[in-house]
Amino acid sequence: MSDPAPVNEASQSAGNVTNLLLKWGSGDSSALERLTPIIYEDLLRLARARLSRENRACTLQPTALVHECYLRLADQSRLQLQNRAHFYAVAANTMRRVLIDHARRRKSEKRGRGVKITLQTGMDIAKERAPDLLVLDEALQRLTELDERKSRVIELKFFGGMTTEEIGLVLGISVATVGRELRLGQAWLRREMSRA
Amino acid sequence: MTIDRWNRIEEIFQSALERPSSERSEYVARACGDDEELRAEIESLLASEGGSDATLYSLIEHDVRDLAEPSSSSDAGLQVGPYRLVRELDSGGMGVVYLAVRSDDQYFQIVAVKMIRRGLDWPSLVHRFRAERQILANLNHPNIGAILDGR
Repeated sequence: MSDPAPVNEASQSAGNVTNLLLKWGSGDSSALERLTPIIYEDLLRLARARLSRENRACTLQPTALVHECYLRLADQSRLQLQNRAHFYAVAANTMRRVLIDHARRRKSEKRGRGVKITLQTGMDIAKERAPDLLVLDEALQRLTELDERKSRVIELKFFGGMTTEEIGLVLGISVATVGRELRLGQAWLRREMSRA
Repeated sequence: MTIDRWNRIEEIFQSALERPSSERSEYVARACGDDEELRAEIESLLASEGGSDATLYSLIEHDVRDLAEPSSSSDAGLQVGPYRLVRELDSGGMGVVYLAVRSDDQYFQIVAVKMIRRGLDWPSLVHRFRAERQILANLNHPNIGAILDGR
């Protein structure tokens, strides 16, 4: 199952994904939940194929995976810019959920192995956390409470690799507004993470 | 923080960035008046502004790599009710099917356990998964796997 998908399999889901994107575009919200598993599986398949095929030092940018996934799964001749932006938005959110879940599980496995360290009292070592994905996710969640749109813009950019134009298309805001949302959103996030 | 306060922060922050960097401090001080707390908040945000996106990207990339290691994402070895998962048999977008054995010594039985993917346990997907289970429970045919248990 970790092998890359044969071409015919990819093109089979391509028709499916294209239809689902069109349905979603015309207001069928159930198309979204059927899209998610397909996109997730392909993202995982691509990541694994890449790791086994190329050297271990290869880049594994989630955003590159999302692009590749789109090229494989979507029939570009039938889709418009808007459909493409929606695809990226689902992929970005799926990518984030899956990565966070994985990071949480890995952390609890480590704890489960019973590694115990005695900390000296008076030293607040436990409070200091190197920034990792969970720190990022927690900060993003706090940002959602404060300003949901900024958090969304950041998710689309960093987990979905979307351009400013595409983000504007998905959220229905101007390119200039996306730029401003990113500026303050990222500054806020950086500061939060450095305090974590 | 109130929405008003946050909007105020945003307004001053964005206006400050439109000015040359040499004039920002002065502008922020003027715009905040005697609200020292507001000024400190905006200054600290301005200090975190700019710089490269690379840190965030590489943080995410690190975990994608980890996720892609086939062994690390498997649940083999996990105990699910009276069954122990032996190895992954197959996977689809929504779920993973494991070969499993009964491990409570009541009797010996090999089963297949289908689990919804972690991270995909949204209410709507769980609902679909449950519906699939109910359909399976209603069917009784030698060529269709029988449902033994569900939780």
